[in-house]
Amino acid sequence: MVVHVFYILSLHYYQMVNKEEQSHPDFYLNEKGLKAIRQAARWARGLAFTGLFFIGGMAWLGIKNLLDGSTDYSANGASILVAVLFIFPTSWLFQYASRLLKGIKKNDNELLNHAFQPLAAFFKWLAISTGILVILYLIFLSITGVASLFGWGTH
Amino acid sequence: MEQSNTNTNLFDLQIDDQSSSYLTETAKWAKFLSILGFIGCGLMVILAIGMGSFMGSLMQNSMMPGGGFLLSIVYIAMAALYFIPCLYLYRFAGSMQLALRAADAHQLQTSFRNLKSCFKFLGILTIVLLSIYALAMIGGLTALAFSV
Repeated sequence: MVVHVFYILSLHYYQMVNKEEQSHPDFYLNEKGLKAIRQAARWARGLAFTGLFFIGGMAWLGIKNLLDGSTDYSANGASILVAVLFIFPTSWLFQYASRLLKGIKKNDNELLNHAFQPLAAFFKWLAISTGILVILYLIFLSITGVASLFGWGTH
Repeated sequence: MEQSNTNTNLFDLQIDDQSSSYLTETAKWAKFLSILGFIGCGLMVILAIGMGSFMGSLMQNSMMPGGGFLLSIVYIAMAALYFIPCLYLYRFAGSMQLALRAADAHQLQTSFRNLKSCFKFLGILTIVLLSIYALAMIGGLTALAFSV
């Protein structure tokens, strides 16, 4: 009986450990893998710089126009809003690239592993914002479709 | 020098538990994004064909008889440009999922190479578009200077 219980328990433990290993494997990076990761990070850093430049430009234009007494609140407000919204993914992309490059250079495993959090956040933000845009577009299409079917807004 | 540095300390760097979970999440969202991109490309091609014939019939008696056809070409070119980074992103996500499931360093390498290609394509596209904008601006300013 005791042997039986022990057997079942050990089987459970074995399955648990095995499952743990399957779900989160640790693996070492070889030279080619590191090279690919470094190149990806370099291009990401370039893209993030360009993005920051554009965001700065848009925010500056919007704020400058409003301060100069422009009454076009929708256009200038939109450019400021887009700049504020895009600061997040751009800074995440930049964080990913800089942490990764620094981690590889200093051979700092902690830094390297911290680099992937902003990458995940970046893709999550992009995917969710694209999804929201698609949904808004579908709503817009259905409203205009119904409106044109019933002839709303026609004179 | 940098190369030798990575060579000697090669096996100190590893992907740990936490990174694996972040990379899993990254791959999931990247795959979703790329599939949305593919759908967008398909819609663009449909729009190109539809708009081409519609605008063509609209512009038949106007100054630009080939306008509809031109519009189709532009839309299809845009769809093609959009398709390439989506394909890289999809491959990145697919290989990443495989790599994490099997702890396969080779797949991880393929995955990051595709991510690099995606970022590289977007970077070069941005540079090209910026150059075209700059040229257009210079052209416009020159035309303005001569017209006054």
